[in-house]
Formats: sequence, structure tokens, C-alpha cells
Amino acid sequence: MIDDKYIPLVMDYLEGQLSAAQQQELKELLEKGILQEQELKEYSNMLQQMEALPQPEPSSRLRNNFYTMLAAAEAEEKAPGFLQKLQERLGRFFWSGNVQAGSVLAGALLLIIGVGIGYWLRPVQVYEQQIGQLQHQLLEMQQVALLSQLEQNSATERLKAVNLSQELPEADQQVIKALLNTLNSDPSINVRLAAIEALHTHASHPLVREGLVRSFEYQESPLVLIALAEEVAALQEKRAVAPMQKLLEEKELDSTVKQQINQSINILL
Amino acid sequence: MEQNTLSDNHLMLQVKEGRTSCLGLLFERHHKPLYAFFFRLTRDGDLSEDLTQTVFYRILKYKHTFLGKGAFTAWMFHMARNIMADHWRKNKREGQRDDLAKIEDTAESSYGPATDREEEVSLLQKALLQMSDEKRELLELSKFQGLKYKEIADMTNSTENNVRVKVFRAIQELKTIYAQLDEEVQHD
Repeated sequence: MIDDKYIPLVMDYLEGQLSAAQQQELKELLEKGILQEQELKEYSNMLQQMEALPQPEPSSRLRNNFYTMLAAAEAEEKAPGFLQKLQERLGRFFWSGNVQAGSVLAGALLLIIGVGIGYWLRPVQVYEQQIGQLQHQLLEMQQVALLSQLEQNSATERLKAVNLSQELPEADQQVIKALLNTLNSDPSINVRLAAIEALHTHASHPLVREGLVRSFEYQESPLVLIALAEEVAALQEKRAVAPMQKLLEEKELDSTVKQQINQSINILL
Repeated sequence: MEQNTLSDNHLMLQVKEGRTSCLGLLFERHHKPLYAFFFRLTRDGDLSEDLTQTVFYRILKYKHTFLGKGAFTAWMFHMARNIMADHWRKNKREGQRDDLAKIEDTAESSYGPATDREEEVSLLQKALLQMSDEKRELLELSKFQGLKYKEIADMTNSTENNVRVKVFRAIQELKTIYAQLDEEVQHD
């Protein structure tokens, strides 16, 4: 039985981490017969045998279950309660730090509220058209505010702008182009990832799908590539298969990126 | 390359901040070692998959407790250990029966090991199963999963030196059991 006090030395020997002084100490202990060379070799063999044990592999059920859980968790996060949503929207509009856009929007909202009050007091039809116009103007103003915010130097401001774009009931060509530009050239990975999410909201716009397919050639970050591959698979965008295959052939990719791209290609084929 | 090696801690902090999709990358990196951890302790494939899934579920649920100070893997295996302990507590009696049944299965496999290497693997697996849960877990964390003694000591409320001694004693015991089983086979 090896005494407890020699165990650190023996473990360092077994793990190949002996210092010169320890080597000398071990040599002396072996010579004195306090430790047996044969016994140490047997422990060393035991460890090697353990290391060589085959690695058990899980079935595909594990991956399927995990991604189902992940999708459910993401969906839950993206669906906040009505009040929370209203609060967030108001918060973002008025306290976004973009005072000019905030005031313009505040003015427009007050106008709508005013018109709304009038709506209760006056005959209906006259104002319906005006409300429609005002809503249209509000949307335009939101888009203008958003485009200017996307140009900001601060990544946080750009992130806010990208998130804000998800609140737009509809986005015009200019907004989509700005988001695609952000996806392809923003220096911040987080902003690019947010742009993918924002573009998902506007996936019905014809420019979005084409833009996502083309975006593969502009991306270096593994996180963005994974998110992009997931997105095109979710949108069933078969045109993305070619650029993904090209990536696999031409670039040296992180193994997890490769795995996701292969998975997305399999889904699409 | 910096971009290809986003650290686990960085990813987990992203998950903590609400970027749930980053958990996918952590899953890709760690689900196999986690599965192996559970499988070697339970010898049950379906159960090990369920327990692995539970770890990721809990990572998501308790993401706010991740502070990013220690290694992500230590935090993850801390959860895995708790999940394993919960399972053993719940299924204590049945678990023991299952384990015994599995040892028998391995011993009396209908074809028997075909090569020396297969026999060696089978004997070692049997020997591991005959050890106490605590010792098997210690070997699993230190030798198979490569956790540092300090990390295991933090998990088990012990000291680094104490863990080293325990790991060594476990290797010693494993060697003894293995030798006994080997002898039995030679006699048969």
C-alpha cells in the first residue's frame, strides 16, 4: 500500500509531470524499495487502458430533442406579454437616446391621440382617411429615424435600430437594403446576428431571401455563419445550398459551423 | 484563429444575456462528453440521452447563475453531477438492480468478446461498474473528462490534494478489481 504522503509524487509520475527534483526523489524511493517500479508501471498501464476505452456515441434523438427544446425556448422569449410589449415599444421610442427621432415620434403619437379623441366626438367617416394618412406618415418617420440610427457609431445604438426594425409593421426597400448592408458589413457580430433576426421578421419581402443567400460570402464569424445557415434552412431557401457548399469546399471552417451547414444543406435538399 | 475559437465562457455569457441560440454551439461542443459521462456511469443509452438533455435544460433555466469566473465545463459538470445524484436518489433500488443486470449482461454476452482488445475493454467496463458511484464519478471527471483537481475539489467541497489522493486510491481499486476479473476469466 503506497503511503498517502507519496501519492502526489506518484500521481505526477503517472501524469508525466515530474520535475527534475521529483525525478530524483522518485529514483531514491525506488532504490530504497519504498515504491516498486513494477507497481507504478501497472498503474500507468491501467490509465492507458482507461484512455483507450471507446467513446460511447449518442443517437440522433438527443440532437433532435435538444433543438426542439431550444426552438421552444427561443419562441417563448420572442413572445412577451401584451403589456410588456407595449411598455418596451414606448420605452424604445421615447428613451432610445435618439432625442430627435423620439420627439418627432412623440409629436406624431400625440397627434394621433388627438385625432383619436376627435374620432369619438365627431362623425366617423371624415377622419378615417386622415388616420390612415397619419399612420402612413408615422411609419415613414419610424423608417427615417431607424435609417439614421443605423448609421450611428455606437454598436449599442445600431443594435437598438436593428431591433426597432422588427417592430415596423412593414419595411420598405430602403430599410431592407440597410439591414442587409448591416448584416454584411457591420463591425459588430452582435449587430449582424440581430440583423438576421430582424430580416426574419420581414422574410416575405423578396429582397430578404436573396440578400441572405448572398450574405454567406461576406461572413467570417462562426456565430454569424451558423445563424445564417439556420435561417436559410428555416426559410426553406434552396438557393442557399450552392453558396453553403462553396463555403464547405473553399474555406477552413470551425467544426461546429461545418456541422450546422451540413445540417442545413440536408434539410434543404 | 480568434474567430474560430469563441470561448465557452463567452458563448455562455451570450446565452445569459438572452442570445439563446448560442446554446446550440455549446451543445455541439459538449453533448458527446456529457453523454459519455452519463453513459459510463449508468450503462444506459436512453437514460444518458435524457440526462444530457436535462443538463442543457438546466443550463438554460439557471443561466443567471453563471458568472463566467471559472471554466464553463466545470460549471456544466457541476450540474451534471447534481442531475446524476438526483437520478440515483430517485431510483436507488431499481438502479442497483439495473446495474447488476448490466454487469451480468456484459459477462454473459451471447457471443463473448472476439478479440483480446474487446475482452480487455469488456473487463475494464465491468471493473468500473463494480466500483462505488462516488469513485466511478471521480475517475470519470478527472481521467475521462479532464477536469482539474482544483475544479473537482470545488465541486465536492474538498481540497485539491484530497481529490488527488482519492483519484489515486480509485485507480488502485480499479486495478485490483480488474486483476481479479482477469483471473476469473483465465480460470474459466
